[in-house]
Amino acid sequence: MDYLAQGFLNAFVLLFNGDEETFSAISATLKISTASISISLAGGLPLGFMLGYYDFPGKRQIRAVTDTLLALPTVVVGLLVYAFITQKGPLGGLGLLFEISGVVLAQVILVIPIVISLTATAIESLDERVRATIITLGAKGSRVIMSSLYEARFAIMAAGVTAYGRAIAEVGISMMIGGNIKWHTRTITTAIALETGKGQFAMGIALGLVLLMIGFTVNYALIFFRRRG
Amino acid sequence: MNKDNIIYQLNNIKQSYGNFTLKIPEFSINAGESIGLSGPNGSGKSTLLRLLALLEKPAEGDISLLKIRPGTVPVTLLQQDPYLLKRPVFDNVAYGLKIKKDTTLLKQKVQKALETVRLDPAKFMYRKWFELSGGESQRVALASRIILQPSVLLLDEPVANVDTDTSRAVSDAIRTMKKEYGTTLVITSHDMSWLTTVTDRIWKMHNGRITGSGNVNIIPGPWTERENHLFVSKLPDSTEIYASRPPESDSVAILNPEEIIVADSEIENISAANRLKGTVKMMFTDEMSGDIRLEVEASGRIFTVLITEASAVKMNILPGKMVYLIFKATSLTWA
Repeated sequence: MDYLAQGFLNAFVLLFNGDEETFSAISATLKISTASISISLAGGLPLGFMLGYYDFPGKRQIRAVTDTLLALPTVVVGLLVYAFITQKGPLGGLGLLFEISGVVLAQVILVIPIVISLTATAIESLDERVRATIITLGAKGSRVIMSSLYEARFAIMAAGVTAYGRAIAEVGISMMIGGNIKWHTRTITTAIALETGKGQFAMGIALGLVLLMIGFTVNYALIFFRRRG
Repeated sequence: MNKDNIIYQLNNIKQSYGNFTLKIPEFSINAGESIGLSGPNGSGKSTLLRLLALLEKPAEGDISLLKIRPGTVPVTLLQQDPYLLKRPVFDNVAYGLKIKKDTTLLKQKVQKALETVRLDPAKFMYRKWFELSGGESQRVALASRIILQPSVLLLDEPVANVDTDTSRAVSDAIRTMKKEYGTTLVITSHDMSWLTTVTDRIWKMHNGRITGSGNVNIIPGPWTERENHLFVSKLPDSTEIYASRPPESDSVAILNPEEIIVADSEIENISAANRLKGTVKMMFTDEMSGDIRLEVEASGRIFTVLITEASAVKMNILPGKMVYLIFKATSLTWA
């Protein structure tokens, strides 16, 4: 077990010395996950609100599909997106394969059902008195929607955190679409997979610690906002 | 009723949920009036308030809201078990004014609204919604409506499940709204004695109908025919009540309190078909008639009876006293 202890020790050395390769993977991960979660929230929040708030024909079917997509395997998303953006695919001309933008696109497909489904659940779980209260206090139109979203803000924040966790921790998409290219598309998770395969535990452990720290920071931010109310 | 002063006009209203139907052929409320609505659970009080609050459109008929004070919120509703927005007390109370973009002297207005419901602004203004007791939440919710100075304020069971202080604060706030802003009030409550202290008129509701005004007693059906053209309905303890022929078997009978004779001992030979043994639960001066109003529990329900002060003294009527209620079958009329 000495190699593990040595791995931890070397991990701290890599982090505190600002090892360029390690920080390149961290940077790529933050860029990809931030872009994919931002796009997913921008599109998923309004769609999730509509799915949870309004009744319309086919709502239950759409809900069933969205909920099913929560369990979408990353390699399946990777496969489908790969097929579309490869040179021979319909979107081959966009040059997305082995690029950060390609990984972002695939992660959005992975993460947006989580945002939609959990936002819809948050809105559906709102106290039934909320709408009547807001309206009887004079709110109309978009103000009713914004106030309803604000009342569900903790559950929606939790949805965002869950979606971010899925994006930052996935490995299948980053490996298949990004190609794990050093200094370019290599992310924390693909680097860990690669380094572990090579028996280089130090960098794997260092990146694993960073991943855990990011997860902890995001969750702590949620707890902080909850406490502040 | 002065037609120029009507604020609400309801015509041929019909609203159904499952087996329940609210049906109001015609009903109007004057501006500045305080109306009480009383009736058992499921009688349609809350449904009527939601229609008056314009939260729902009736399936049939129309509701006209007239005589709105310019620049005010037309109508607002304080629901039974009100919901507080997940934000501090200040933001809850200020919410409606912020929507109207009426933010001048906002802090002072919030302070005044909190004082109207007897909450100390210094103590409560910045409390979180989850740091309030049930009674305090009720008062904050009421302050959120008061600050809007609405033309019509609808209150659904505002003193159900609250402590005495909150009940008093709500009563005072209601009087303030009426006196200072001329607000029209429609208030539902099971507590008839409280309702009479804060309203000008009380309407009784039963099974989706407005069955009568004032202190009338409501006797629901079903009615089954007996001998001598009499019809009976059963009270909760299975005691039978006799009435003349109802229009329909499930009609609701109205028994005016003035029609009930009170006796302090059982009278055997009397022509009246209905005799109930009961206990005086409450007695107080009826503000509408000036008589003494008795709330008598008999056969599992409360009957309202009006007697003169002289009769009450003569019979030594006090809460807890056993009495007999006597009334003719023909005293029951039909809603």
